[in-house]
Amino acid sequence: MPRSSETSSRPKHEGVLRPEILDRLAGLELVARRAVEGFMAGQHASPQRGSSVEFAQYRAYAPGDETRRIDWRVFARSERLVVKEYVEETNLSLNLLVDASESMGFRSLGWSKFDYARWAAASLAHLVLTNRDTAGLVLFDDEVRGKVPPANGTPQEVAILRELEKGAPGGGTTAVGSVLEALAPRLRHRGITVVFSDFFDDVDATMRGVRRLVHGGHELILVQVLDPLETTFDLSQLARLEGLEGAGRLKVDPRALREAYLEEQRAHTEALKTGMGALALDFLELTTAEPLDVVLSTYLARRLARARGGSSA
Amino acid sequence: MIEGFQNPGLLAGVALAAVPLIIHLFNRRRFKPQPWAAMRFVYAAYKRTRRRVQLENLLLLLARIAAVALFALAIARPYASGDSPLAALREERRDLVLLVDASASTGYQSDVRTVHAAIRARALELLDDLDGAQGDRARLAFVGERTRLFPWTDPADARSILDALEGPLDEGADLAGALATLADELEVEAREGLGSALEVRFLTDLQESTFRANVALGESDEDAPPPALAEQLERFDALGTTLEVEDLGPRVLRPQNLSVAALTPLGEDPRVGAPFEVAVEVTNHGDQDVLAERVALRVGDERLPSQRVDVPARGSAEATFTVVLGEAGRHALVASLEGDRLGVDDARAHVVDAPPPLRVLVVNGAPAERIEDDEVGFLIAVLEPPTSDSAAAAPYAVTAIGAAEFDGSDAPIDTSDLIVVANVGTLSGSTVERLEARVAAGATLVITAGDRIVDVVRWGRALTGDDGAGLLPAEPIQVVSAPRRTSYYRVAEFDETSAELRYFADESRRPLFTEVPIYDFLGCEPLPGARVLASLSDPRSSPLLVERPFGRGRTVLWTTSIDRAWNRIPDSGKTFVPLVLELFDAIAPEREEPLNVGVGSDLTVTLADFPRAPVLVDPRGTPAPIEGAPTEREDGRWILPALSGASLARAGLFEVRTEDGLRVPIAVHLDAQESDLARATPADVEAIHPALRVARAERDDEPAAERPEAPRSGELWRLCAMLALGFLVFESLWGAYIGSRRRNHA
Repeated sequence: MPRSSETSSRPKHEGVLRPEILDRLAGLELVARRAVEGFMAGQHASPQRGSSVEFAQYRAYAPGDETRRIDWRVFARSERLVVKEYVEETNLSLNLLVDASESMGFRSLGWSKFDYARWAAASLAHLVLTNRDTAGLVLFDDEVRGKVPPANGTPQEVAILRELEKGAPGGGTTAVGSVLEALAPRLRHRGITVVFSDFFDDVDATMRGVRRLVHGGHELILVQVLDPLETTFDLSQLARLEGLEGAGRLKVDPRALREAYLEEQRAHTEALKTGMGALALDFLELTTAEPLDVVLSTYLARRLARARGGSSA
Repeated sequence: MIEGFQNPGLLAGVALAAVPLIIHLFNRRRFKPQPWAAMRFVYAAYKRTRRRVQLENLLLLLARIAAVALFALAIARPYASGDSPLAALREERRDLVLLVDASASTGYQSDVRTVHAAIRARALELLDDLDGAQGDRARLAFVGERTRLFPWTDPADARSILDALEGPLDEGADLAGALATLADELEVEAREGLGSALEVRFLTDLQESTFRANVALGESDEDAPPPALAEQLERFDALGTTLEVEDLGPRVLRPQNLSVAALTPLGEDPRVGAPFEVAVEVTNHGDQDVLAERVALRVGDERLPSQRVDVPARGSAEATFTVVLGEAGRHALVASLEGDRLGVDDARAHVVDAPPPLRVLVVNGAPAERIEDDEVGFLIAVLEPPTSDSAAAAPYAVTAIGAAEFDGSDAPIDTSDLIVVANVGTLSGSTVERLEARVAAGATLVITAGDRIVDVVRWGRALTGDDGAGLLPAEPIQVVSAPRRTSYYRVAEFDETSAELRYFADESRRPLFTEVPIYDFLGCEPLPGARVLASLSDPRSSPLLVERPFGRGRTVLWTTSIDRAWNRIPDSGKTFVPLVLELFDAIAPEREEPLNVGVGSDLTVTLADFPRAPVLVDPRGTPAPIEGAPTEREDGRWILPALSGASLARAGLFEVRTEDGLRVPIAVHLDAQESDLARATPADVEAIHPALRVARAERDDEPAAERPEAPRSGELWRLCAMLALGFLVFESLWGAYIGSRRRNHA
């Protein structure tokens, strides 16, 4: 398919759906498809047993069960009334949670962490919706700032992209944990929830929110988006650091502080990673300097391979 | 703690220690604003590292401040006293200047040893007190007529230098000159910031003459200029230094000493074969009369019978010897005493010159049988008088020839010292040329007039040349004659101060020269450069005797005759004889001066023949080659390369010897003043200037007096510099360590 026709078929939301990323994803059609497949492979079977085609298990008949669900063949052989249960297969429901707190506005390159996060969110939404699954969006800082309820179809993609375009890092502080706790009862469509944030929040609070969602039957993926400068602290001269989110000011000698800073930063990330690992959930670290398509496709390919029992390398 | 600073002005440099602090504070204003999201990590890291980083930076800052401050302190050169808590850290260096009195008087045998030996021993003792390992330095100066000032050395080298001074110098001691030389050097060192606490000691016999011009012996004259020694001590005072004088001389104030103060030939210049007297003056510088002191005189290798003289205390006596010289040339006379505690002045040498007879060539222009009629009869009679003393050589060796012989090539012009051309009417060109060459080389030409000179103008032109630069000192014009029966001319004026006519300056003798009739003379006009010694009473005041230099020699014109034809002078023996002798003595070519010089004087020696491989033999008989090539003089004599004062630094008899066997004695005299061993009192010396202090050094047989501890510089600058360096090194290493650690964790 010529690239021009494919490009023209997409919604005109290039502010968040970066053409070069989509081009790369489209150019790597196989990768894109596998990426989507990766998501699909990661979906959980619905815990609601139903009458779909995939057999799940037998159970003893209980009064009130529909008689049509009694397996008469078993009754004929064993004179026991058992009911056949099937796994209900539903479409993928993807909830994209993007942190729009002030700290996400930090940038040392030409784009901020928020820019990078919304590009990633838009890309995933596009991939999922293209596969006729459902996707929804939540923008938050210390509370929910914008929301697009899960749905499918092209209009949904347009709505998500519009909300992402509209969003901007505001004056709120990062409070992933409390927002997740608040959202847990409101996310009715269980599915995969991907949280894009720098997670500059208390690790325990974040993990409390994560556990709340997991208990609600959601699979959670935390994507930590950091600026490369935040991971290296490579400031060349004496600096007066002016904290975002009202964190005050501090004059520092970066060379003297670097070692301890990096230790603190690594410890924070490790704590998140450990917490997520304990729940068998994915924790993905990204810096805004990394090519988004490569990062996403690599992650999804690894996830697919893991689901199929292959190597995750 | 710190008593003071050598360069207190430079202490202001300590303020530079604030520079690192200012830079530090200035840097704090250069923080670049940077928005930051992950402040939680920054705060946590800051909380963890704040104390450590502050401590690291503080150490760095303190090291820089300390380095700068200590460098500034080092330049200011702090010093501390012995009781300071920093005393153990002081630089214990001593700078000792030793002025060693090396004058001849220190050769005095004081007791078992000479004063010089005592001075040497004391100098060695002082040098032994120094510690070269601690940086102690010494500077030696031998004080004589001139000062031998050596550079700063370590004590071991100073001892070697002292060893080079084998004995006293045969000189006096110019203390003011020595101090001036030393003060010049010390002032330069002070200007260049090299000066330090100095200890200056003068080891001396305290001879009065060393301090004479400065000792307040009598009433002081307030109008008199300040003494030289006091001036130099003023300079020392300005340098913050005193002169410690150590008295190592004899115990008595006026040690007994006899000396040969003078050795003087009496009468006329010695002549070969003619006895002459030599006076030997013996001086007693002590307070006791000396009776029957034996005085000896040696003439060359011959020792004359000694004489005994009584020499009163603080007085002199004279012994007179009669000496006869057997041959011409320079002869050494050495007078000596029996010997006393100071040997250097017990003998004195003197060189006399017995010249060979002056070679006089007399050219007779008008010979005659009778001496009264002969042109040069009276002249030769005066120059070669009959004598009963056959041994005595005549002062003049006269050769008389005729005018015709004079024009021949065999005429002994070139071997004559004095040529008299008497009434010769014509002279050939070649003869005139030979005369000019000889006179230019140093001979003297005397031309006298007479009736044989017919064509006066032509005669004159032949001798004066066309430009008047020839031999004659005056241009002849015409013969002037007076009518003999009625009148005559006489000498109207003469130069009474000239050596030629000084004899007649006395009023009793003046008429002998001014009242003698002169009837005829050659009227002349003196030429440029000529000097008229006597002029006549004619209206033109014509010259009678006129002379002019010509090359190295000179010509003299006597404008009348030397026989009785034109005047009555030859008839008057009382006039003619002294006139000839005085004139010839004065106009004779200069003789070489006898070689008598003071110690340390430069000397030029002239020899008759080419000196082959000349050597200078000192009074001890040690020969030393005379370096350099001799130069030939116009008169054919040879000049040796100048003998420097350093090569004539001993009193006594030197000798120049050549391979050809030539021996030329040179007498080198000790300054007679050095024989007076009278000593100044410490009080007199200390009265000269407050910067002068006299200490009596103890002797071996005396209990050692407690000496004040030698001043030590007590400087701390080296310590400060080392500490500063240490802080700099620490700062570098510490900075590098911090930087490396912080980079590694980047």
